[in-house]
Amino acid sequence: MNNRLKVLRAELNWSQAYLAEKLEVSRQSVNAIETGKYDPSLPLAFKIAKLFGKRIEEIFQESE
Amino acid sequence: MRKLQLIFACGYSAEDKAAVAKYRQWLLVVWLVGVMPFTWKHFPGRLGLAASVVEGSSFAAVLILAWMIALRSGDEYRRLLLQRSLALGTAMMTVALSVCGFVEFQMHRSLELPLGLIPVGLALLTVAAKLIVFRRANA
Repeated sequence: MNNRLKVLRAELNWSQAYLAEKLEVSRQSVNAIETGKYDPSLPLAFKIAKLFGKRIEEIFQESE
Repeated sequence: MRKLQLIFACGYSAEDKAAVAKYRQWLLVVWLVGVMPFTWKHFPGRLGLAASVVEGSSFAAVLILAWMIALRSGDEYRRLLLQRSLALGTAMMTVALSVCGFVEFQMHRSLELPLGLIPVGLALLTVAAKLIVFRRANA
């Protein structure tokens, strides 16, 4: 699964640590999601979408 | 090494430490109970066998507690990492202990180690069942 988390985070000039704090997860988790090593659970994906004010499919896309 | 640090709560975040602290005293208790039989393990007969069972049981309890910590502490990604490493560790331990028990029995015709391994085997089964239930619940 591809995601635009890194881009969205960069647009807001947020650090991984800051985003992790907002999402109440570890920085390691944010890094793993951004690098595609880990796909977040649905509740976490919703949390991310809500935080950026977007729909889940605008952030996460199925890989080709 | 990081996973061990997490289990013993000596190098991770505050919430991880809080989760581990809840179980740490129990880890210590079962470990102490497990260490004690070493002093009377080499007594002949039933006392020696009982010591092995107690020792194996405490080891089993430590294993289950470690899994409980892994399933409850940290965030979802950390839990996944912990589960992976514990699953690998458990599998390796199962193989190693099975070989040890078999060799001991073949060489010395002694039931000491195989009997001690029964609770460990039960713990491994419990852990496997718990992991299956957990993974299904989170699938």
